[in-house]
Amino acid sequence: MAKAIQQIDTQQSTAEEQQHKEIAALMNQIADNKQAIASMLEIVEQLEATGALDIMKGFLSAREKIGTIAVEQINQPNIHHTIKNTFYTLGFVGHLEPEKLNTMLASVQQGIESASTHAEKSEKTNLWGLMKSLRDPHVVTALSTVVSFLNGMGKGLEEKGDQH
Amino acid sequence: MEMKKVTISINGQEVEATEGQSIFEAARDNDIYMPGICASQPDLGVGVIQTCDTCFVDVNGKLQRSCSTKIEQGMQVSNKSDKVKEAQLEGMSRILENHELYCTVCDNNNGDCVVHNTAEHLQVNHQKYPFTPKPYTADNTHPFYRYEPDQCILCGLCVEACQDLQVSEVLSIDWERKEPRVIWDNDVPIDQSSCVSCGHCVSVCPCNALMEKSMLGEAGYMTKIPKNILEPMIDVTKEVEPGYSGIFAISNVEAAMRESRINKTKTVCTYCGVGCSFEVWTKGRDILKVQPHPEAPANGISTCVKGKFGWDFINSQERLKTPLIRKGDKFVEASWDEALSLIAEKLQGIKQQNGSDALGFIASSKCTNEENYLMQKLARQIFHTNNIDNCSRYCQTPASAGLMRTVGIGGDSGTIEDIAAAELIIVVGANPEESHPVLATRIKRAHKLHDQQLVVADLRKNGLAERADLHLHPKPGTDLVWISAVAKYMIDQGWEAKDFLKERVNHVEEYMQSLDKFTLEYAESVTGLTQESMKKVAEMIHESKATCILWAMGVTQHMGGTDTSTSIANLLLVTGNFGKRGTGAYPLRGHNNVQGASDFGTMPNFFPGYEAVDDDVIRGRYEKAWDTQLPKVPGLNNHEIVAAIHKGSVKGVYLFGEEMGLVDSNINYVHEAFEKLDFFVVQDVFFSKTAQFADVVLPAAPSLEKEGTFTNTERRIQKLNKVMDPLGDSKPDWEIFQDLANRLGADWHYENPGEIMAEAAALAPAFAGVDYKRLEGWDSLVWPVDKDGQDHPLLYEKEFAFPDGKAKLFPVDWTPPYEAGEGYDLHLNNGRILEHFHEGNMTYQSDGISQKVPNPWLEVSPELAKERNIETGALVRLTSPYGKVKLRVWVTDQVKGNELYLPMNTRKEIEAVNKLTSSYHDKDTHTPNYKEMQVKMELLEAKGESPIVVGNFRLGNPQPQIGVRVAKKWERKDFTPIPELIKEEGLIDGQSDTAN
Repeated sequence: MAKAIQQIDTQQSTAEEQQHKEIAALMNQIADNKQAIASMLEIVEQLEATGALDIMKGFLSAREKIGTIAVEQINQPNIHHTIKNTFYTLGFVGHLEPEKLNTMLASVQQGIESASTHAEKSEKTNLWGLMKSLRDPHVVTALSTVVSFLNGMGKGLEEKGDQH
Repeated sequence: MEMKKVTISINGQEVEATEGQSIFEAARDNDIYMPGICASQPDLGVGVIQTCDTCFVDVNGKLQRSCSTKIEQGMQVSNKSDKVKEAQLEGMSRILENHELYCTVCDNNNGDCVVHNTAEHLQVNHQKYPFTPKPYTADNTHPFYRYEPDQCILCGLCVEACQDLQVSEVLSIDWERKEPRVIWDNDVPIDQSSCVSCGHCVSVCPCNALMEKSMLGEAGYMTKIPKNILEPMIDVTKEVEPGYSGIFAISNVEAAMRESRINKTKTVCTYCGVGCSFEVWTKGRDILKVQPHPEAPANGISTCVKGKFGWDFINSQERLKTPLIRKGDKFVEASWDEALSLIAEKLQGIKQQNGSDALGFIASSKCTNEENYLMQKLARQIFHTNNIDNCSRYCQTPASAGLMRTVGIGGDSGTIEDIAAAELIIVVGANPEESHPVLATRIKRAHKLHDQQLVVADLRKNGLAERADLHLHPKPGTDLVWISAVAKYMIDQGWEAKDFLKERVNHVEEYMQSLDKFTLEYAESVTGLTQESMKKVAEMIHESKATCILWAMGVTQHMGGTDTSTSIANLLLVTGNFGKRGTGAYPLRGHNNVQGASDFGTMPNFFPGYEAVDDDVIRGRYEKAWDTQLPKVPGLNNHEIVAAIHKGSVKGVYLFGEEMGLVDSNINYVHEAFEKLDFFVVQDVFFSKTAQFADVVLPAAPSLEKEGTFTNTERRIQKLNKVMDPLGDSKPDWEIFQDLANRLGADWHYENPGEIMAEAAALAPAFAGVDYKRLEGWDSLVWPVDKDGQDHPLLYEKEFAFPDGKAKLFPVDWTPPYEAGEGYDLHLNNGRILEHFHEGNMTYQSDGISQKVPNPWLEVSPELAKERNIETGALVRLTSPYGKVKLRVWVTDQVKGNELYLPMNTRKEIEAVNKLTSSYHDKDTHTPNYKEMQVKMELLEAKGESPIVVGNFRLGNPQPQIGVRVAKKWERKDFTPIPELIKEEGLIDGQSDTAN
């Protein structure tokens, strides 16, 4: 004779037992990974000592506010420019051939040295002197390089103009 | 049918394709990528959709859509020229005008986003037309999904799915307004529309415009970011974007990361007998979504509300998590060890004291084939009894019996493909639109688009009846009479399939004589149908080259259920409608594994594969395999077990996965039986009504928590894979049986269900070739399966399943239905509804479904309502000779005259229809006559709230149309055909294939 019943006695200790079970499982996991966990604790110790943990805590608890501020800051025209320029610059650098760039930069470096020596002397060069220096083969090479550069840049500008 | 092959050239490469295919299809089948967002769902489409314009190709020098251009021999196609690239890019740019690309923070960035992948393939680098938000807010009204107009690319895949595949005809795109959008019905919030929540639209959406709410904020790593951070972040990204390629790179990395935490597991639906399979996406125990797949054999990309969204029960707080033992007047939690020891001791004790047949076993059509196999093995091998049955006894055993009498196999004669391909469908006593929703979509689609004829014989004007070319409304319980009269009329006209009968059928003469009494006049007087309508049915069958008859509980749950099923098979035989594509008999199985439970031997008279237990040779095979003596005499069925408990001869029952205390007929009588048991074990996922009577309750694991196979209504065996671990201490049923058996001295060592199936396959010839290796991925097997793995989707092509290969016409006579007697003046019909499955123990766990359908209702016809002065919302009491129920009324013309309809979904006994039903039953199979009852109705409260609440699709207002009506888009003033635009913009002929 078994009447329909609905009363179920859930064991009161179940939650506690469950917790014990889970703790036991966790302990096993810890024991299995003793070395890794010990190293991790050392790192945490250092972070606490340096105050880094405190900073992180503050940051995380205010994450939404900080996130909003950060995104607002980023979402400004000048930052847009910065980011865009970074992309463009990176693109520009990426297109240059390393060997050529190397030669150019080395020359520029030498030019700077020569210029600074000249500046230290603080001598004025007269027009005649300038004309004379045009005979200097080094100056001629540099000038013709600059002219070729201007030529290329001009072509680039023209092409852009076509497109717009 | 071999189709003609055509050779064309795509990008200079010769490819072979089938005549009639489009360029898009030819490319796809030859693994050549062709962009085409609106062509991404092969199951859809009446022809093609043509909304996305990303698939332009160069055909013999002209720009054409690859999706709508049929291939021709020698055609030269290029999708690589500058002109083509420009055209495709233009199409994509127009899409991106409607869709903001912020993939990394989008929940649809799972590697399968069609819009993302197409944009990436086309190397879209910048937005040609700036994205502009539409002036509409997101529609979040539906409990399960949301529509975001701002992300909607207006491809219309959702509309196609709703109008032409699901055929609920709710969605359309309003092309006439300034900013077109998808609308529901005549532009109402989704939840107030006629949306049936089937999920087709969401499943096919190629982006994130339509999404499951369970995905939002859950699928991505960064999609939960609050709006006030997210929006400026999207702005920044857009502002500084160095071109989309960089964004795609990041989003691809993020999509790949998602794969590590989202599992996608194929399973088979646990609800009805259609057997939909799909992937379940999970994150831990959270179900993110159910995603159907074009390759799923029964359903393709189709689902219904339950399969798509009804899975909350898996994580329900109400799940049983630990065994319970009755102590006094309460249940106490116990360990598996205690519970199983007690069961072993008690059942063994009853067996020793009262004999093996004092035990009864009731198996489950919700559980797997392997579990049913093990349960019958437990009953037969360990307890030596054949007292085992399953719940198909409540529904479809008469159909199986009727088919075994006539054609030999108790299952559908073909597959859903045959149903879709038939020229004429006759549905008798069934409501597939609600009870087998995905199967019904194939009929609705064929009827809407492919001229399939449809006859529905049902008391109610249900969804299919609304659409039918002919709706018959016979008097309750008289189907056998009109079916036989149609058969006789056709023979009288000389329309029978003479050659077929001569060559393939026995007992023709005897049968024809038995029809003598079934004249049209006689049928008219018994059924109330006009002679004209019966002649019309005969003519329709005569004119159709392929006819299928589908039936369900309206036929079987009668005292003459087996005979009516037989008369259906007879009619099909007389007209030669077996063994050809698009023909056959289709008893629609109600539960996911009604077919499989019986197939795998949980029946009192059969071993697996319907082999008789009293056949010495067959039994000998099992005795040898199981190394024991097995009982020869067939055992008791469910119904007889209950009677035997009342008589005192059955004292112990082990029941799993069956809510017998609610779904058996005349439940008061069943409850009294349970009270009399000495020992009762109930194994279930929930603490059911039945469990309340138990001595031990065992917590079982539902389908998502285990491996196994289900067999759907087509006889299709499909594998389900474990999606997640069992909850708490619950276990898969097969493990429980094995643990118990081993306690009783059995030496079972099944490591996994695959080993159980291997044993069943080795013993039952019908399943000889069933092997898990043949069921991987979307592969399935339709039994019988030969040893070499050859299966048989269409039965009886060459012979029927009898020794001489011939079918048998089987004379039957009409059994008048049960009469409740004087004063019981209203006929009570009953059954399921779309949203809740059966009594609703699983679906009521879903908040969304419960919100839409919180309770059952009583359907009352307008005529009766007027006569009794009753309106929607009134509270009434129904009384039968067996019990009483109390419900609120819905007045609807779905029911006629003095016929009531009471759905069976309820959580309260006072609303349970089986308080009213009797213990009378089918004379041949003991299936209860649920559909034969009359009641009295008393008005308790004249007014009240309607039991049909806002959100119920029955209050909606569908807007049928064919397809998305793309022509309306092309008529818009702001639409320029892409080839024209390309010409205007100057990328003209002359400039050519430099890219090659």
